[in-house]
Amino acid sequence: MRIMIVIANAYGMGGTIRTVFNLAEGLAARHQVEIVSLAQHRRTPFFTPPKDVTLTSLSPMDAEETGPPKRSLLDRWRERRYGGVIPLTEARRSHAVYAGEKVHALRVHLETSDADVVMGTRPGINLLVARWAPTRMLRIGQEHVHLDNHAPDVRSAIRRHYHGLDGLSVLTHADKRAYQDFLEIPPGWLATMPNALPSGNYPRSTQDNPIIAAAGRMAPTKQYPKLLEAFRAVAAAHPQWRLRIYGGGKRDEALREKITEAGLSNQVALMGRAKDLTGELAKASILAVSSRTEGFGMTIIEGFSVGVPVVSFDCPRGPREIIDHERNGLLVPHQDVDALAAGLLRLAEDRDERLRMAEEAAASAADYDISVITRRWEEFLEERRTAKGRGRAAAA
Amino acid sequence: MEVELSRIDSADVLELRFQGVGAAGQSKSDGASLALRYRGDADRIVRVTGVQGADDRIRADLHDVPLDDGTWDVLWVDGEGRRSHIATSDSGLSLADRITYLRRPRRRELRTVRDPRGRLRLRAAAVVPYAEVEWVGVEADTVTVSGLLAYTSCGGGTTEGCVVARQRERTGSLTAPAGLAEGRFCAEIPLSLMAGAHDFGRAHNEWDLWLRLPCSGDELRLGAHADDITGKKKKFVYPDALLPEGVRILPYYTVDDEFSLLATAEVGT
Repeated sequence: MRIMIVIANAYGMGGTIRTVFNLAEGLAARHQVEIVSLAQHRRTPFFTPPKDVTLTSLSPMDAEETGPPKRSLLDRWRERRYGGVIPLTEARRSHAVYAGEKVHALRVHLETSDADVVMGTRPGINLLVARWAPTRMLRIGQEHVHLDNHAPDVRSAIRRHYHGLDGLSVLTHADKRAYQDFLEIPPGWLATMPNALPSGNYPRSTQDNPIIAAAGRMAPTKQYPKLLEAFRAVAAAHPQWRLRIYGGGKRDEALREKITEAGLSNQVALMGRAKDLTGELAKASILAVSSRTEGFGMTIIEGFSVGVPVVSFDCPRGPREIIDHERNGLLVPHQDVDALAAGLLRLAEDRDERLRMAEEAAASAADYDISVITRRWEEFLEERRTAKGRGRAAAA
Repeated sequence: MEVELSRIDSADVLELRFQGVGAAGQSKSDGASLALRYRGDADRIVRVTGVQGADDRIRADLHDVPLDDGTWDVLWVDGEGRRSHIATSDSGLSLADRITYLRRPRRRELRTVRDPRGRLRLRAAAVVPYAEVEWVGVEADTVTVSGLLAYTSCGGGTTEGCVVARQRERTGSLTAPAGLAEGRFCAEIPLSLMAGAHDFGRAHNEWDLWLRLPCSGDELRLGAHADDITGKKKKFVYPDALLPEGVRILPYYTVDDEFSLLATAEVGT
């Protein structure tokens, strides 16, 4: 199959980009894959694009460009025209992505492409695909965010226009149930597709270093201040233990203050963004997840892949579908900081327990191997193509 | 070739443990060995002699192998002289091993590194003895710092040295007593010293810290280099202390991961 995956900005560093690249790499083993990026803000992508995948930018950077591009009358007209397709909340998230000329360029690209399958990767793009991708293509939407996290206008647009898609993928069974309740869904139209681990050699934690790792951008939803509170119990009982927080973003001033207030200056490191996250996680012995909510929990399977058990809040939605409590990690009651502290302390004090869970964690990671997830995608796409063919035949 | 453990011990012996027993025995019989290739210059290859195999592992003594500073690929050389990368699943970090490594006097440091593609590398760097900072405590008018002597020793027993604080780009120094015992040090630095000597004409007064050894008079720069974290300046954050003189003092790591105190005049003084 010729598969086109449309992404907001393939040059950035977000989780969706990483998972789209992983999937593209897996599919490229047997298919012709093109990643189409609506926006481009730097010359080279932060993540290395997968081998044998074409990367097409719909807004290539001009080497001579020195300022924001001038907007022509035609661009402004296009923007007004396309404004009705993208919900306002979605459009406001990034003007660079949904600028009229880029959306127009996508429409032209779709019309002239010979792809068999086109996939959107966020609501605005899914809506564009649903509305404008030629019907000769199999039109698939990917949702990387839970339905409840979408603004009312986005949910409304989803309800009105997603029926124009031939299929939709979501990350968790909880997401699937939410969409089943929200939309009238034909059989087979909706599939749960977890994120995949990219191929490669993974390191393995020896469970010798007294290090707890946490990973994810500096954002309120990660609740790192609560993790600090929980870690205090470990740090007080076992001063040699360290907490390393990997995450980008500049909004860490409050966290820095909290570290000094809590007397954890010697034991907590704000590591910044890690390009080789699994390499870093393998240096640790425990992964902590203190999120208020996790769309999926890619970090958890990355921890599993290097033999690091996870202690996580039982938050909606990903962790409870990935972590098997007491087997490959611990799920503690949501928002219960004392329980998180107790879980971390228990594993910090028991290396044998960690080793046992590490074995199970590494085995669990196999379920997310790119080869397994790619096969699931191929089966989904084949089934959707067949269903589409049946629908056309019935209509004729 | 794949290994599950790749470590440098404190005697600079590289130990590789193979996945699956018998590889080392096979390597001996095949006449296989190791080579190091300098990153950035594929023509610079150092053959490692004295590779010993036992059970599931081999050991290669690198102590006397001349290596320039930099990163080296560790290569497997089979019986027919073909070289290949060694893949390792070892993260390359053992905090306990690193502390043990600091204990021996040396002028060159070797570390094993796993690159993002899983290949084993060796990093060589010239080092000088220094004082590894393990713990910093900030009180209202003191900063307490403790740690261990790295790459040098100062005899056994308990002795007293001192911490020397030098204002950067200025002459003169301040001292505070430091206790030494069994290769460890601890010093309580009274911040009133810095506040009293503060140059209000400068926006920042940086005080670099040194540990003077009683046994030799040598001065060791305070720093934190034992683990794998570089760029500590932005990664670790300490509280500051506001002195009655209107001077605020903040412990910090420099861009070279050395330990210093930053003194600034409180706004309004």
